[in-house]
Amino acid sequence: MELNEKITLRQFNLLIILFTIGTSILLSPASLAAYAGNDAWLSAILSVVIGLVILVFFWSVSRQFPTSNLVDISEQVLGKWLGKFAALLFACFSLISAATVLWVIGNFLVTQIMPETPMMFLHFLLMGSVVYGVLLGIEVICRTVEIFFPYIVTLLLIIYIFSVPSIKIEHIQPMLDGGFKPILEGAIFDASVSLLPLIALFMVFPKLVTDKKRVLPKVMGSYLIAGTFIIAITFITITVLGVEITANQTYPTYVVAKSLNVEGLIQRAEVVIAVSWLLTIFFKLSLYFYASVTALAQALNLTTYRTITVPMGMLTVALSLIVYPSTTYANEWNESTWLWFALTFGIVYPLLLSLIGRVRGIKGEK
Amino acid sequence: MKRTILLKLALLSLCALLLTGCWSKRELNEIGIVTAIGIDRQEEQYKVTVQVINPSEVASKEMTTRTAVSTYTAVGNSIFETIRKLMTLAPRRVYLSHVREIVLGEEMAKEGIGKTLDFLSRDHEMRTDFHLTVAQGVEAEELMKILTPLERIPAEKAFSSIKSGEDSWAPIEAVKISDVLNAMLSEGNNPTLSGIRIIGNPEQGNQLTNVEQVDSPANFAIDGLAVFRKDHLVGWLNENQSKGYNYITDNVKNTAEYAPCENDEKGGITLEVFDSTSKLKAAVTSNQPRISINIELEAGIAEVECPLDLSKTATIRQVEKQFEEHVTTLAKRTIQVLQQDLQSDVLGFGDLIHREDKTYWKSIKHEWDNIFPEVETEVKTTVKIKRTGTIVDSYQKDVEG
Repeated sequence: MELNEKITLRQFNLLIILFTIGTSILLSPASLAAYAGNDAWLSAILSVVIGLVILVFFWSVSRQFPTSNLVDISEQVLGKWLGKFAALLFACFSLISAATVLWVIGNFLVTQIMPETPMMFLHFLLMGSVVYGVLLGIEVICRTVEIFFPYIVTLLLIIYIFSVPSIKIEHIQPMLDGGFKPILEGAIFDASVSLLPLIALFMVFPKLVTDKKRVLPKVMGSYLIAGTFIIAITFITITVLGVEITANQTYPTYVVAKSLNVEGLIQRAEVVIAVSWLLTIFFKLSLYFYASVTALAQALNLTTYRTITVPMGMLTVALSLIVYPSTTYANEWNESTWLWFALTFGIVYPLLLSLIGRVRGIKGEK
Repeated sequence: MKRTILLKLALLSLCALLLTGCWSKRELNEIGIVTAIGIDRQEEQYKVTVQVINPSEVASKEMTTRTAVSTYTAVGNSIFETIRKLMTLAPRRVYLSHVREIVLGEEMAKEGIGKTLDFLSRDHEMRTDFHLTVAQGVEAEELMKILTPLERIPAEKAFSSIKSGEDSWAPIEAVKISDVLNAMLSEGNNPTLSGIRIIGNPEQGNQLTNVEQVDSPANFAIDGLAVFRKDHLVGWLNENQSKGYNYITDNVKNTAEYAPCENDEKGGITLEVFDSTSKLKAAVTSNQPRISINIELEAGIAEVECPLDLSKTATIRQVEKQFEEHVTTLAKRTIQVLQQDLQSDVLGFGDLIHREDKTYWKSIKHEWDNIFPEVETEVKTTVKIKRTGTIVDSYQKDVEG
């Protein structure tokens, strides 16, 4: 499959920020508070540290195979047929992840904002724009990232800054009340949600990014920016709402935005959070979907991925409607299965490729 | 030619996709905007009263003979069911996002409010910025039916009374649902809710004549604080005790404080408190927790009836001392009532000990309810009088001198 699109490292970094913020900005505080109680913010910091380690690992894998994307690496390292099989599994992982992300946004909209609208229509609308974006290509998606990035940051900052007066430090005292173990558990879970999916970027980075100079510090920097957003929102939700309420909310960030009131001038601003979340999730969804479609097309030796984009989009919508039968199921699945699912494709898969590649002495160039 | 027409038609029909945003639209004239909800218990069921805005009355500039709000009451097994059941009475579907006030009946509060709070935080239409109150001595339903002068919507009057009261009158505390939940779920704290009470004749309160007079025969007042143990109402703090409570919990922004003159003179002296801060510290010595409370007031002299020479700093110091004792006594009495009579840690002493000494807290947290009444406390108040208002001496000094 020919891919002659080009994106810059700057665009790629912005994509990383939005992809990492993605779903986490609305969901992370609740799970972190449920694990680590009033130390949730420490857990978020630890999660970013774990994330940095994983990021270095990703970087070392990409150094090992400088110009190959994940499907190329699989085929070179594992051989044609086993490699294709692994690539197909990876395409499935991305597709399922895309479907769950789509479900998450649909569920948010019908729970909080539009309870009577059937989820199917919301999914069609959002997926429609994602399919259109992917059809136009990753270049267009990345330019959209550049356009929307300032808006998203501004919207989030509005919520952050105006929440500061409601912060009560008492809510996070005493520190380390439950010991270190719950903090670590929360951090691992959070890292699995916000960082492991970055494996999907292996379908973008190696072949498409043009100026690969000083990649590691720049990528780490952009991950730190995204991590700061997540740490800050975790800190804000638990200090504003309290630990018990945060842990028991499905969307604590939304509730913080709901209770925002600056002297009666700025209030009822929760839709601001909804809008910025729709935007970040659009990019997360686009990237998952792009990774899935290109991996599939490449594994099947298609000349272009564009022919299968529309059918795959329909498949994603259909899958998103049945992927979780209920919110309770979704929570259980996230707590019990997601970590291992993400570890398999986010750590074990690239680690195996890297090790076998080293043993067989494969450099990555064709 | 044919193709372009087809293409245009296809594009036009695509626009229809954008209409999904209007899927469950409800126009303003299709919803009944609820401003207050009153919840009572009737045997094993809930009695829910909603106060719905009558939009044409609120918006119209001319005087009419209809009331600005209407109330509907129904009885059902759960709050949500009852609110839906109201459809049998009300012409419009009720809309809860503009609720400003939740009034809980006193009887229901005694039985427990925990189950009620579930609906209030679970329903997506409910926001988090309303005040929670307990109707003192009456059912919530009765309170919901009082029409108020000045503010045409009674719930709005209650909301602004509490809000402006919290800013300028010490006994009033504005309580949001997150405060109640946090206090209720914490092991070392208990919730308080603002009390609300009918004054005058409730029979006349629900008629338009109530607001056609300069002095309305019926009204309701924000009065006292309802003290809970976990989710059960156990008693009330009166005005002075509520003051003490708010001084201790650092919830006083601006208020008036009165103390009688010294030396058996008639009358008294009043301060306007501009700023009040309170710092609580817990120390554990030989397994005994001890709480020290440090209250600092900044004030100005607002009204003087005593023959005092206020041009002397010595006199000012004397007045400061007098008020230091006064506020200390207020705080001590509140603590006494909470420890001895109500036995409920609404001041959050348990949480304070938890924050300062977590290992000690772990060893006692299961017996905290028994320990709380015995906890030793120490209150220290500092009053600083910064100014004396626009005049210096009291005229009374010259009249009597």
